[in-house]
Amino acid sequence: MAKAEETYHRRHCRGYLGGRSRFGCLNPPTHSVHDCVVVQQREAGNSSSTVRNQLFTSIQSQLASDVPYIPLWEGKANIVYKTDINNVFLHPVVFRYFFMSRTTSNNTLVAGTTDRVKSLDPAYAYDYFSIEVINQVFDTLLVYNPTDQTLMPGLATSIPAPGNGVSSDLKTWNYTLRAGLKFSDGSLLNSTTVKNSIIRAITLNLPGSAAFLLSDVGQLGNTTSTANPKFTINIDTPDPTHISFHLHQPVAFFNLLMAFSVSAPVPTFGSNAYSTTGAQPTEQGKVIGDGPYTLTAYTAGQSLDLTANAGYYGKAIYASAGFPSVPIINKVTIKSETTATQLKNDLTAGSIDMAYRTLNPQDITSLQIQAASLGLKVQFGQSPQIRYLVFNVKTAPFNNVLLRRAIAYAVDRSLIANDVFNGQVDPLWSMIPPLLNYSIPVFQLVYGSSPNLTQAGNLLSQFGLSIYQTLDATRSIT
Amino acid sequence: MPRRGSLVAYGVTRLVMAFPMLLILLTVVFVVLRIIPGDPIYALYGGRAKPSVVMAQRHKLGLDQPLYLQFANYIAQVFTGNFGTSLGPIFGGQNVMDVIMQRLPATVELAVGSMLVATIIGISVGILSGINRDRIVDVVGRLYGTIIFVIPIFWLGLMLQFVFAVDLKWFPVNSRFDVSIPPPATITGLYTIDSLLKGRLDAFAVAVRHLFLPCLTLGLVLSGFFTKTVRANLLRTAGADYVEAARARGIRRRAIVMRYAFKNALIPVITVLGLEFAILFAGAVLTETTFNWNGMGLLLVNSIEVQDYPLIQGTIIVYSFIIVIISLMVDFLNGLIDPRVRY
Repeated sequence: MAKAEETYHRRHCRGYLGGRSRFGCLNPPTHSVHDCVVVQQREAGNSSSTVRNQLFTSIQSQLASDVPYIPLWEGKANIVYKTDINNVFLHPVVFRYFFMSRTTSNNTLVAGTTDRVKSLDPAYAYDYFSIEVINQVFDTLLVYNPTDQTLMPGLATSIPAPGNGVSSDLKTWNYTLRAGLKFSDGSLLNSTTVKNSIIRAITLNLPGSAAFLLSDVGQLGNTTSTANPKFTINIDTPDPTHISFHLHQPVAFFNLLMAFSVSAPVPTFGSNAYSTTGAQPTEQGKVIGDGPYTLTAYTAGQSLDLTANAGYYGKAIYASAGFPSVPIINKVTIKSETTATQLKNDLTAGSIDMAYRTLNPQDITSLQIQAASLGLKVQFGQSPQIRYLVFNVKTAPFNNVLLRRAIAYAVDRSLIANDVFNGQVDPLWSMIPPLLNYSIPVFQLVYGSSPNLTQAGNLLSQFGLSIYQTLDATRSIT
Repeated sequence: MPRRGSLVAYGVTRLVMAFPMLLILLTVVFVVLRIIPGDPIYALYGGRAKPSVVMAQRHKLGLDQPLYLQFANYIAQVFTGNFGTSLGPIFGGQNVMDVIMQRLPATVELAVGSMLVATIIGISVGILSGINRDRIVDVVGRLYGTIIFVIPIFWLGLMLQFVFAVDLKWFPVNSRFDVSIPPPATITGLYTIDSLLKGRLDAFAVAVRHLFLPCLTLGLVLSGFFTKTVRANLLRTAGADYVEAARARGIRRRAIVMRYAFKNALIPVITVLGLEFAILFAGAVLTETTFNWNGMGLLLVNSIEVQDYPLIQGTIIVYSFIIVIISLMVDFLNGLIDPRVRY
């Protein structure tokens, strides 16, 4: 049975396990959920939802069978803040300060986090916190609705769709830019700036960056040279407000890529033009965006100040979502703490107004209990962030699928969720979290809702191994 | 040639002996960094870079060279004052020495403040214990000296934070300055001094308030050592002939203690000052982490987290230089005060 299963798995899963070779962004130990979203949607490229459903069902089944990963838990986003702060949205994709307002204090906000900025260059940043800050300082052609995952026009005047700016083969995407766009330093932002910025991100291809989302996943190509047309970047700018992207393959979700930070335009002309030989330094005065805030102070690893961009073009772009003018808070300071305990202490002492990423689960429970007396609000939200176990399927002992399946049978997700995280996470049964489309709890269906130690023991016995259960309910393989 | 036993000869000998000490330290740092698991390039890119990029980066940084060549380059760099550029995600590309010099004032400020606290509290408790031998004050002082010295710094720091910052709100929880106020313009990098130089008394008050808890934490831990040393030496000198003679002449007890016994009891304290500074800098790493203090200790911890070899090496080397220089100064001072140590 095992051999038949293996043949079946190998036939169907080779590409998926092969990483970048097929999908261009699946690098098992490090790929992010965003990659997954993009990959999944690309796989469905120009197919109907029925076909996409079948495809994702197949992929998830293969993963449950081949077990290169074991999904463990899905995190709930959480944030704790003073009760006078309003419009705090735990958006599943982007976290933004510019919708927030305060009722009782001056028009400033001090937020705390345990994260640290790595780079504020959109062409380089590919970590949550750097992108979070970039989203305050830079706008993209399209932006997300304040509360959900629908897109809204940002720098562009409208969202292109097939028949309305997008060719029927999904290979040409046309965007019209708003007139009179400017960066915070007053320099002009036009279609050529957008084009140059995207070419810069792709051609710099900084290690660890998200450039592959444009070149590979987005099928824009990776060179300006015409020597090999298969890889040539082809972007037209017929006039300052129109830009056309010509893709090598159809990409149904190209709009999503144009809403991601790596696509954010940066100054490419004048004295403040961004570096074309490497990442732009993350320093005050060197980070120049077109977003609601400007970076007005930065101490590496410590804190940064965001001040309202007086020349922001898009003050009213969220008017249809109930925000006639953004940003509402004039100055946001984000302070990086060394530990989660420091984050909690600063919050309870009142030194910071908000703690976002990442408080200890026990501290969140404690803050929930004390919230009223401390004048704080604890808010939970959906998050596509997942945690999973990754096996190196190329080396022993985990190159044997039976051993991996034995572990899949033995995992106790409820114990992890309740005892480790105080119930602040949910068990995860698929690499596609339930928040996203096409998620099926395949590991639950295949391996059961609770640990099946008998089945795990049977598989392990083939290796001369057994499960040793300790008094405190933890289990070891011996 | 300096005469044997002269202060100059003593100073030269100590200086020469410092070099092998530094060399051993540099070697240990180099070896330890290379035998610990992990790879700095992998840590930097998080496994997202192509193997060709990783190899190119390793080549660029000389990490693909044999260890003896890497060591030779490293030693050459250190002695030319070139510690290279940071590999980490936060300071990537910046000159290591520049980064360290930005952080050094914070640690100096913390170290000076802590030493002040340690000296005042440690010596006071030591004297009280010494002059009240076997009384309740002495028992309490001895207990204090023993317990405070073994209390983990991070625990003590957190407790002080809970009491004085979170509950009483007398002092800020952590960091060097209020985030909502611009720090004083950099002259020396020491916020207290810069505030005064710029005539900003408000900023001086803020800087002192922020210094209080970290300095108290580190100072208290260090004071245990002072307490025990001062007490032991005070008891030794209190029984000396010259003290007995002073007492026989009818000199008041307070004057005997302060003029005769205490002065002489301080000499061995100076001897252990070098060791105390080593403990101080080790403690500063923990204190800075506990209090989010933007100094060299926190820089070292952050560099270790991301395996930023040049920054780790640079920080430890600067620490080592500081401790070696202070040890030399203490030795020299000791030789000056007590000529017997020169032989």
